[in-house]
Amino acid sequence: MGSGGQRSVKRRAAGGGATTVAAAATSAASTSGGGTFSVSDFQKMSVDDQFDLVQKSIQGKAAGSYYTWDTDYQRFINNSGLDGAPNLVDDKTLDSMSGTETFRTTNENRAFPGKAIAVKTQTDDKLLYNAGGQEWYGKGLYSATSLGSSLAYGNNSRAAVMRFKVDDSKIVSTSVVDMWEFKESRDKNSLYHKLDNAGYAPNTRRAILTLSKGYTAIDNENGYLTILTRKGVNMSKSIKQKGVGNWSHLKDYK
Amino acid sequence: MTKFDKNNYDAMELGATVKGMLHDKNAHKHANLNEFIEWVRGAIDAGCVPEPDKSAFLKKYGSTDKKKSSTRDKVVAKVKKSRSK
Repeated sequence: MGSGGQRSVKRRAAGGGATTVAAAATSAASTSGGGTFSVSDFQKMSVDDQFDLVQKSIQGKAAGSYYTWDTDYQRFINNSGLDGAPNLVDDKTLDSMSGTETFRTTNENRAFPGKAIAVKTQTDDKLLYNAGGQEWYGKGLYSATSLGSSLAYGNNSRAAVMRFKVDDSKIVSTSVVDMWEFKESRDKNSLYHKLDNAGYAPNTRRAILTLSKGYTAIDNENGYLTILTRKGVNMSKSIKQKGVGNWSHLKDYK
Repeated sequence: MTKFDKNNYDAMELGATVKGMLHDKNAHKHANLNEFIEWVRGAIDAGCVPEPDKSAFLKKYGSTDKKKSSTRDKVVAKVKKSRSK
């Protein structure tokens, strides 16, 4: 199931062309829900291969996991092989894990109650990474490192609260991403420059650039963390209702 | 322009956007700032921005043409005051 993504990297290492890599990664995504193709594999690819994978992925369709807001980033993450369900663990195990703890609250929307969206975040191989609003920090799955900040934006008891832990080595600060953008915008051989030339929006370029450096999340330096892919991220099996207190005080969503 | 839609937004995206607009040093340089202001004001009108973010946001971005209106208001108030004497 997961070997498709790994094979694609081996082929590239053995001299496989960009088309082979992109096709293999895309194939892994479509047949095995993301496979084992990871941000580290994406990072190891040549700039040309990375750009080729981006182009091919964006030509595909966005996944209609729960409702589709069709953007370049949504199509890229769904079709590149970089999306996939997180590593689900119970709270006790999550407590013992290292990394940055972060919380995501989701309200019910036109299509689904909050809990259904949370379940899809836990289990769907492909997921919606942006909603139909304005995003100050670009595309991605937003979460808050403070439970209180996360709960504040939940409308009512039908809001669902999720808990994650992201490996610190996979989180990069937004100021570092700013520096990459500054440097790569002046290097015509860089992925960022190629994405810019191809006409992709700044938010999309920023998210893809960060993934290409081997990172899965951006620390927005204001208490919010943007998760760019759930793959490799640890997530609690529990889904809670909006309430008062710490995580253990919140009621399980039934 | 994207108008705020109570049935189609992400709570955490809204939270991060409000925080960004309140605390980013370069918020005034952000592309489409007025569009962001209008979107968040829509969220405030729909009751989706909690305190203290709501008050802080209205204090900072109360109106896009605040300066013009406040100057005009001052003049109007002055004229009204002088006429009432």
